[in-house]
Amino acid sequence: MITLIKQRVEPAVALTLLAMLLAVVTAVPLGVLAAWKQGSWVDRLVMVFAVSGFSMPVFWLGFLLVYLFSVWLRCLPVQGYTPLSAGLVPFLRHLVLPALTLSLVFMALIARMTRASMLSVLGEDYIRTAFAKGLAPWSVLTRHALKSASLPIVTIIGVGFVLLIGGAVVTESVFALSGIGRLSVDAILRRDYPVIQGVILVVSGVYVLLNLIVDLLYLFLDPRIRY
Amino acid sequence: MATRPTTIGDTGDRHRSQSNRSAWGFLTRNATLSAGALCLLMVTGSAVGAGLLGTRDPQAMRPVARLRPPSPDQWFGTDHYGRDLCARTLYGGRVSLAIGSAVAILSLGIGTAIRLVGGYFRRLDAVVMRVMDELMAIPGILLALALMALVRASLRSVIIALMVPEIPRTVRLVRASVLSLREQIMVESTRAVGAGTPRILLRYILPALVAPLIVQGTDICASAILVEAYLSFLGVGTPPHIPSWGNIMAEGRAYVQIAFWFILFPGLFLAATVLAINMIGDGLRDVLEVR
Repeated sequence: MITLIKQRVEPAVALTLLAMLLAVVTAVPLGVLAAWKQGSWVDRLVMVFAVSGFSMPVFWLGFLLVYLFSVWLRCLPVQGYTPLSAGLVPFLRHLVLPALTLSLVFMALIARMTRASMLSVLGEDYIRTAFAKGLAPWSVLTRHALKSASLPIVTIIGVGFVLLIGGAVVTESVFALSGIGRLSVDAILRRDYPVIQGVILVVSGVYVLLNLIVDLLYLFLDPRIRY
Repeated sequence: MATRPTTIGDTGDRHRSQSNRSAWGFLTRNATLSAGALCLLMVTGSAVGAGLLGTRDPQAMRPVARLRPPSPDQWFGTDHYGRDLCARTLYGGRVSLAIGSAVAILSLGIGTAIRLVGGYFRRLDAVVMRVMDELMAIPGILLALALMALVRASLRSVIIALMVPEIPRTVRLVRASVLSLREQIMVESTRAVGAGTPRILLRYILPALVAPLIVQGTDICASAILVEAYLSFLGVGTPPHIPSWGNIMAEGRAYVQIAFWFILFPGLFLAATVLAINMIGDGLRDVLEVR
């Protein structure tokens, strides 16, 4: 069973990590922007994007992307997986569509949380002071506001991992990646109880570990917190 | 987020909003809510009235007309058995919407019942919450998948499988609300007057829970429709002979490259419906001032 999970770990880790990275890198700036321009069309657009991100079935989005990029534009492979050892470029080419598909829900979640958290911080007095003393908006937003707003954002990234796993189950089926998600579906359908237990154990272990890391990150983000 | 003006200088504004309290004023001020409601109404209408809209029999096969692209005659094209996809999508809406609302209502009801009792008796509380924590640790889709693998596929078992992962979340929400409501002065004073626990629960705590529960219900409904599609897509959801949006797309996945309309239209309907329900939820959150 351990060998079984070991074989499947690489695609799963690569997929979730890339999706997570993609989501954080795009969603946090979007959320900050939406909060800063609250009520404007930028804000509306980001919120519409966030709500629709929650509403689309992951596999449907995956097929849409496959159709657009692989069937129509013919610039990316339809499905399958190439290990990292085969070179970085083929590895990324195979992984970019699944990661994009998977990250959209996560992106929506983070963008929403970032916006809400930033909005409450931007109302604080010290932000007004920072603007009043003539700091550039960029520096106020990132150094003053985002830093204090980051606690809920980091938390949601940790909690949202479950969402990512659920999405991975479906995404791996669409793109024929043989990762942990596909393994668990197959195991459940075949009532292969040891493998089910193993997968649940691994997934829960990673979840707990991730949330421990999040808890430890609090120490750096908020100097008031001491353990 | 929505805060009402409370300072004295704002009376003019409040006056204006009071004079504008007609139904139309309400709808225009809550654009998200009304857009969502309109969209959901259209989808529900087309699903319920599918038979009246001049659609074909969703199960009638015409092997000659297999995988035809959308045309004026068949708006959404045909599937691999030559069945009319427009009719299948509309009829599929019935199944998906019924599953969504059934899961929402049942899990809210059961979750609230469990919690209302447990939230007041601390001894029971500890046990129930540990069980709920356990259920929450397993990703919802995997839990539903496992439940579906154990029983024979039917509409009822899908609803139960989708409900089980949602109950802990409702329980959590109700728990948090009951814990804070219990400490409020109204409960204390009612108790001082001599009211018993059942009376306090039913007359004072339950009504205060309605608003957050309705918002939670829209969330559950939206995610139930989505997860039903996931389950059907993986092949363990609604039995294949019942056309649900998930089932149609599951059949269409093999034909993505040659017949893209096959999964496009059910997916569009699904996305629009879930989006509408989410918008209603967001709108209600503002109107009812939940959190």
